Amino acid sequence: MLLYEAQSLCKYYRGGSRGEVCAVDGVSLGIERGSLTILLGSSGAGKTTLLSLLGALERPTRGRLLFKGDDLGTCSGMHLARLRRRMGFVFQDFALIPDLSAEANITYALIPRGMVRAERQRQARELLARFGMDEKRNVSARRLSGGEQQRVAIARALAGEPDVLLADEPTSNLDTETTRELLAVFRELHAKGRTVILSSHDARLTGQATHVHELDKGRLKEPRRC
Amino acid sequence: MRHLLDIVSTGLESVLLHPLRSVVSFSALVIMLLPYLVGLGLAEGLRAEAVRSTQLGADLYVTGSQFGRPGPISLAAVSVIRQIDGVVAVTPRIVGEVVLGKERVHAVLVGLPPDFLPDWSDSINGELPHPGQFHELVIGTELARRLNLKVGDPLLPFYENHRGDRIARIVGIFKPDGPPWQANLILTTFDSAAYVFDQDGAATDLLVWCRPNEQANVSRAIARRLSLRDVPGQAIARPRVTSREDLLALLPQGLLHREGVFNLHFVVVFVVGILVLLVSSGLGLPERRREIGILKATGWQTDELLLRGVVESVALSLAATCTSILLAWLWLRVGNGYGIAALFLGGTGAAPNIRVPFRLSPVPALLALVLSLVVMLSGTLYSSWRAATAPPREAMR
Amino acid sequence: MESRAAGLLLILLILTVAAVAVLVAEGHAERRREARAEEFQQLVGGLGFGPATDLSNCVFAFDPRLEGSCSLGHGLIPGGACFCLWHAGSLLPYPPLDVPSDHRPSGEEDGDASPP
Repeated sequence: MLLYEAQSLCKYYRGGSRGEVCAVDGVSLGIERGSLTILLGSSGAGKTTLLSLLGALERPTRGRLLFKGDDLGTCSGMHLARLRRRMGFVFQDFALIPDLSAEANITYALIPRGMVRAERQRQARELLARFGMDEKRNVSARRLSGGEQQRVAIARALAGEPDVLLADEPTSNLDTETTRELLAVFRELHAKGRTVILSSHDARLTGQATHVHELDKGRLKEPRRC
Repeated sequence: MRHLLDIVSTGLESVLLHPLRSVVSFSALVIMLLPYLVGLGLAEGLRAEAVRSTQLGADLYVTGSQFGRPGPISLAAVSVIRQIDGVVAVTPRIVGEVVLGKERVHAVLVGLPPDFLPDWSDSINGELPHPGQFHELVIGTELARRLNLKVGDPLLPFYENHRGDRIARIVGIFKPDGPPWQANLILTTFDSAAYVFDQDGAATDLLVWCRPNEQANVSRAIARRLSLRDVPGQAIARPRVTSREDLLALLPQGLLHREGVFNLHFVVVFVVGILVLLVSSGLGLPERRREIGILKATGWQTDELLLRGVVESVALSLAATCTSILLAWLWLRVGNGYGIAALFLGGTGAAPNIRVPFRLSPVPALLALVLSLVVMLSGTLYSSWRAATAPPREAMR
Repeated sequence: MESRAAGLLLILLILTVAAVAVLVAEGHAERRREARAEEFQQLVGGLGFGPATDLSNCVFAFDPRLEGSCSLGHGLIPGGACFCLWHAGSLLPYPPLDVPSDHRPSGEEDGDASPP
């Protein structure tokens, strides 16, 4: 069953003197529920933009993008916010709120889900413990190392049991050891039935995936099933 | 409800998350509100004293005028006025200026008939002038301080009289918590005052009390009867009659102030207010936009983000307003209007030696809160709305 | 509520209560000032109205009952106005009591006291 269905997806940005810049050009794909999908491509290929469209962080300029039957391009802002609660997004630069603690970065993400404070705290602490960040839960994000911030970002993305985890270049800022740990996490999530979508320029990650979509200049090459 | 409280909590935390912005906005608001509240407190205090002076005085005040300028009025006019229907009582009064001591201290000498003065007053340390006694004086606090006078001290002659000068004696000093006009006042009997000014048979004004609703008729009758030849031995003098209503009509209503230093405060208020607007909308804006984008990306809705911003603004506004009220009270009550009272009360220095009247009431405090809310929300809400309605990825850039 | 937010809320509460307490206390103090003013004004027959505390600079600023206008007010000048410092600096900018005779409406009885 498809979690996502994209039809002729396009995303243009205003490029100043260059006019419009086409970041995603006519992409059509489907992402199956429970799959581990990698969006592959070099820098500037459109991976981050496509991932942002899938994560409902931007609306497509043209085309159709369905998530569990909802059109992400035409639904209201309020509905889009509710759909984002079903997704967990890990940003390339982690995107933690710097002056909030590790725990608060996670509990803030749970507030819109209407959980009571005790439940939010419990989930946050469980996730931080799972990623070895229990002792640093009250440390502000600004004072965490890159690897620690990455773990908090993943913990935040997993908070609230989202239907899909999207990660933008999750290994680009990490050392080998941490990369290995992180990929093990993704494998574990996938093994438990979670849909995982990663973007990366590293072709070595494709061995982990069930599906690989390669992008070049905003266009999709022939899809590969692994 | 719980969800709303959670969002309110994050709004409060936001104040602490952006300490620089919060401190700058808070400080700018206090700078804006504090002189406004202090100035308004002084204005209202002075206004209240003026209203009391009017309401607790006589119904009508009759003064004379000669050559188009204020002049004395004959004591013979007292009996003329007493005969007018509607008049309950008439009292002559002398109010004049004297200069005392080597320092040339200006004082206001007030003389009233002994039967007008009570036996005792709680507004005085000491006693009132005794009937039949000459040159017993009650002086104001500022006079006592500047001339270093205490109750019982003599006062060397400060006037010239063709019958010779007399040494006066201080029998009482006004308490400092009275109206400001006691500061340089000398209260004595009418005869003593007449002696000081070397004027017999005249007063500076006549105090007239009337039956209820008779003031207008009595006023017209006084003008008619005193204007021509009804007063024997008096040169023709057109009387000037001032009623209580005439005075009360002079006082501005509400917060309209047409002139004076307070207009400058309004300018300062709005200039600083605009600065606060710019600060609150611009300071830390990229970080705030990014923060809003991150929250949106994790599922926050636009209205939740705006509520968070509103709570932050309300918290800062409330804190700034309450702090301004407390500081204004300290400035006025403890500091006695140091440095600012002189702008609004003539004759006082930077550190007034009289108790400066002030009034801190709820209406200006509420106005201050509304003003600070408008300023803060104008700065915060628009920029927050722009960020909250943009796609999360765009806000995070 | 998180502890930091609770702490800030407590501070806000304290500030608000303190400000309200000050306003209430001043309301009570106002009654004492009223009593003191009443005693003073009954002693002197109603004296004092404006921002001056003596007669040396502007009698009108001390009490318009004594002098209905200010001789130091210079009125309008191009671009603005020039007023006596002693009553123009006041927060109570009241107009002169004395209406000039040529401004009185015709037929008005001589000596009638009329509000400005």
